[in-house]
Amino acid sequence: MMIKHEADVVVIGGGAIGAAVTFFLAREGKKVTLIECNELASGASGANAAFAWTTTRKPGNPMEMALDSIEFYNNAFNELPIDIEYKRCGGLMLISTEEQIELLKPWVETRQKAGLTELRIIDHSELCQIEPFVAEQCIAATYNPLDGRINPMFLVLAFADAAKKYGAIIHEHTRVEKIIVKKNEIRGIITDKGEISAPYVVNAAGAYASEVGEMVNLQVPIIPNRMQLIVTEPLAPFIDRVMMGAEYVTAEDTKVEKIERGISDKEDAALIYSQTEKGNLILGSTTEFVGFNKCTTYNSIHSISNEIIKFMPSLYDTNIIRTFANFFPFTTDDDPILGNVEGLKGFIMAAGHNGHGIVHAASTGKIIMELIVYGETSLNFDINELNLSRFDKVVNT
Amino acid sequence: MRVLSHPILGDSYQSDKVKITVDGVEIEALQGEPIAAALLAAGICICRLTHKHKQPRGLFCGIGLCTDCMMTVNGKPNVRTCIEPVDNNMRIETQVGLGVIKRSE
Repeated sequence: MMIKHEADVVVIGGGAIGAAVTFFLAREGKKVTLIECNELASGASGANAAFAWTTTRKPGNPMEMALDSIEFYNNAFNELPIDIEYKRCGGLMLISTEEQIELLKPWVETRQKAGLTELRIIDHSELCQIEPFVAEQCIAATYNPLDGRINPMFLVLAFADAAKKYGAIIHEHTRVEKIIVKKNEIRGIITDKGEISAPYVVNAAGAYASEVGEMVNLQVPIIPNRMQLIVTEPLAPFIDRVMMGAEYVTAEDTKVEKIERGISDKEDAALIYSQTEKGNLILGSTTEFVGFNKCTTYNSIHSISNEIIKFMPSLYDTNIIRTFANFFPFTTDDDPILGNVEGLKGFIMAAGHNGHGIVHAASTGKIIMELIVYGETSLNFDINELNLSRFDKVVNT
Repeated sequence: MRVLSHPILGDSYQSDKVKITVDGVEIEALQGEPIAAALLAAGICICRLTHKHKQPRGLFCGIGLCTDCMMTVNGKPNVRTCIEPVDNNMRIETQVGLGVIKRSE
């Protein structure tokens, strides 16, 4: 079956971001077509720790977007046809050294002022009270009751199904081959299954966004950040809250260093923990920059297991049933690339969310819709802060 | 039902007799045989009840893959009894639903 039709907007990428953008535009009455080269949620949206996590978002734009999204998820049953299993179970960031506490004190304060009013540092005895399974090594933790978990696959499918009800068209197993540009304006796309003309193209291709950028001679500085994760056998409710290690914040700066060193599957793991509705634990994780190599490695799985046992020795005998890896779309400043692109009318970026795509999906969808339909966003912050032009490497020919 | 004569492993399987308890009831078993073998020999077919519908499950694949024969052994949940060897005084319990992790000290 050959595709040939006209649309108002073509969205490239069927992950959480692409599906959300499609949903919000279709709800607003736009003719939207979503193009996905594999299946919906086949990338990072279908392979992550199922967090809806606000604590680590930066004050400003990213945090406002995260808070906006979780508000949408909390009321999603009004809008979405599938239960997305969103649960505001609270999130802990486990601290194992005094040094980390000192680093995190000012970090927590700025976030409290920026809207996470209930975020606070709790000491060891309080932690033992609320999560007795967490080990002695943990001297403190940050606690944020706003954090939670979600079923990311159901989220994508729910957005897609709801979008279809509003008339959106979704083509899976369809590959974009060319983006048609005339006089610096988007005119449509050519896929391996036919042609779609449209004045807007949204690049929501996640870790592959730079490939889409190349089609219009744009350098998009998004690189794949591999994270390996473990799935265990299902257990009775164990620890309800989602948890991560403080290393994700205190060692944040080392990421760029790692890219420069060109590393590697021998990195230390830092804790990621969540328990799905079905009872399986999702445990992680490593941060690796190895290009588009989706293998899991013995070294990483081994160091993840050790990290998990360090904090939760009771899991020593628990069986691993699967391991998987994904590519988070990594940007060097950890912020997504959103909005218009200078000199290329109709090309909109919505990628580079790194590990925050799920918690940013709803608000990204809303913002991109507002940009396309109204030309401005309802954010209290300037969306242009997140434009592609903040990276000076951009070459536009 | 025990394999006491095997074309490759030989005739009479020699092993010490030991005692294990299944849901509090003592049964006789052979040291080192799979727990599931001892259970079958004692006429016990149900290893666990499923999480959602509490339906009975028992020995199915017999080679440690399907997890239908999981039981709680010495307090440890999700033990595949078809590949776990018997030891003296083992405490074996029918597992109801998902495994419950106990806190290790």
